[in-house]
Amino acid sequence: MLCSAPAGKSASNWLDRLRSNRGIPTGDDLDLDSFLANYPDPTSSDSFHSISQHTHSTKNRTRGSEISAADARPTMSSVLAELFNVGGSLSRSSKLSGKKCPRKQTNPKSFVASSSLRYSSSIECCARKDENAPATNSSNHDAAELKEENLDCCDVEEEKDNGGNELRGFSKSEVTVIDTSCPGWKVEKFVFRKNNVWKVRERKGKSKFFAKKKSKGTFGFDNHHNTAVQKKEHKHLEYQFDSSLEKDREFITPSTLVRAFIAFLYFAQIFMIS
Amino acid sequence: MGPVRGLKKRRNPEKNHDENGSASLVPSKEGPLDWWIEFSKRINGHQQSPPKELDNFESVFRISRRTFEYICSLVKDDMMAKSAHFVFTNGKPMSIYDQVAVALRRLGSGESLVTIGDSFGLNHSTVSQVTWRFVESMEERGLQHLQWPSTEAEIISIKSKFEKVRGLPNCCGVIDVTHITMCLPASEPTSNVWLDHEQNHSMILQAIVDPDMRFRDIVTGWPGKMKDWLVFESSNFYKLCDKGERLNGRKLKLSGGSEIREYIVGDSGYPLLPYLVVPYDGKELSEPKMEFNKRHFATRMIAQRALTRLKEMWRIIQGVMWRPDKHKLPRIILVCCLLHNIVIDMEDEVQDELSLSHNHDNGYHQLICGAVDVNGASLRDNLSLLLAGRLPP
Repeated sequence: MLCSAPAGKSASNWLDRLRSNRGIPTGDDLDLDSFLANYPDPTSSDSFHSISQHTHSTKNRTRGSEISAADARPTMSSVLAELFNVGGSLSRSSKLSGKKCPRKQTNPKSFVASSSLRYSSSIECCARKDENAPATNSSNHDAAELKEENLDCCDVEEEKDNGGNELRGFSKSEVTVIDTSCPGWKVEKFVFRKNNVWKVRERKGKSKFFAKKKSKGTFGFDNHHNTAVQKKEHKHLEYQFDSSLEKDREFITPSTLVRAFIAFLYFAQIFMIS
Repeated sequence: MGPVRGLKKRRNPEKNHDENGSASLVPSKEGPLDWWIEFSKRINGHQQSPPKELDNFESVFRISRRTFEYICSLVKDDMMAKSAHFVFTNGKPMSIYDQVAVALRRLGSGESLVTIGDSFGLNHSTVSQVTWRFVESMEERGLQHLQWPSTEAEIISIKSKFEKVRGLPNCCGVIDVTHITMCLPASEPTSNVWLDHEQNHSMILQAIVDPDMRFRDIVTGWPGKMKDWLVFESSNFYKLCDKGERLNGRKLKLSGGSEIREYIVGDSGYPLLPYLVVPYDGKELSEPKMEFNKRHFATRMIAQRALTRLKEMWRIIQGVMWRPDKHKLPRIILVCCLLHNIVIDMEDEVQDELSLSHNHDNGYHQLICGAVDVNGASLRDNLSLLLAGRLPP
């Protein structure tokens, strides 16, 4: 059952009436962050009735419970960050660190609110990349060094899957080589590299990993790992292909709409106060 | 001696026509001349201010009409197999000439798909599909234009021409490497393997060139980080030479009992081998060695010019490619090499107008391998003495 607006408040402004209709607390001192912390996902099994109950109980919560709830639920700022796809620029961690975030996104990405698990893995991937990315004002030499470090990381990962002692620690890449002195001209080979040591192996038949990869799309390189690494790469591939695979999907879900609506209210309030 | 191979190849198109009736050059109702009139109108119609050179076929494609028609005859069957869906934006289906013209323009100009699509009245995806179909067809149909000389007459002709260049006897080719540069994501760890010694992401093209600047053997697809000598040692050419199955022809007997076998020449980025001669290194060289190095350098210039011409003619591989598919790029490079050879085999007049620049790898420094094989050193010394007149032939 919806919370009806109190009779005494009928003469209040449109914003209050709207809030009342939607079960959102009214007044000038409302804490939207706390409200959102308790605002359930409409797509979950909770009924709308329970939303209003949660809303009314917000003021009775202790400070400790607020903190835990805030940890468990996204804050207003993080909701805004999600809505406007600004990466971590508005996240609490960046606020605490005191760093001024760039105005533009460093890693533009598709917003897929329907799949929170994948979304979080995408963000993790972005964050990892950011850490490794060279500073914009650094010299080429520094950038090259950083890249070298990245490759070393990659080598460590691949060390596990190569299995054979001979190629332990080598990075593995697949290349298509055209050699007009070969009978077939076109040969697919594996290149193993460890610093300046190169080993070349002919690719014998299609591995199951390759076949799987092919259905995903075309990549310059394929790194074939064991299951754990493969899962990791699978996540990575999902991130890489988000923009193409999710192109035709509906990004706006009911949850997004509700959050957008709340954000609108939030901004409207700020606008009216100012 | 006349250009034996050139004459032979010039006859090939006609032979193909005779053998394969389907290679007739009238695939659609319109002939090539009528086609060009309409096609040039279309190009000019889509240009906001059409430059005058677009009226001229040779200016647009930088090959003669005869070479163009020959290329059309090579790929016609493949290109027309399922071409019904290749249409201009106005709905008109593309003829074989249209398709080959679009593909050649894409490979030759290096312009983006959108630019070519806009100038030819095509969707950019059509440009991409037509070009790729052309590449797939050419790598099958044009193979006979890129092969190691198989007949004694051919190899004799090559040796004779090399000797005329700067006197190197029994030389069968010049080997060199160029880099096809790419723009790859720096954040991708696997991009690192493509980062060459000049800190560019690149793919290597190794070519062995004959005195007519024709590619006789190519290896491509290896990442730029691989050094020149590693690419060579990974090639089948190297394996064949090592097994004595290549460069194993007639030896030049010298009066002292020594002999000069068949060999190729390369720069200091390669090892000195019994069949691969590199220049002497060091500053204080004797007169014969300095003279040898001069002649060696002049002979090597042929390969540098060939690679420069390749990149100038087929500009898709000249600039920095934006994140190319690294499995497709070697095939595009191969087709560019095939087209380069076809222009030579057809004795196309257009090639005479091309510059003789030799700067194909701008900004790349010479690598030094330094490995020396005893037999290679002996061969080089014999050549040096022979050229200095101190070793009677």
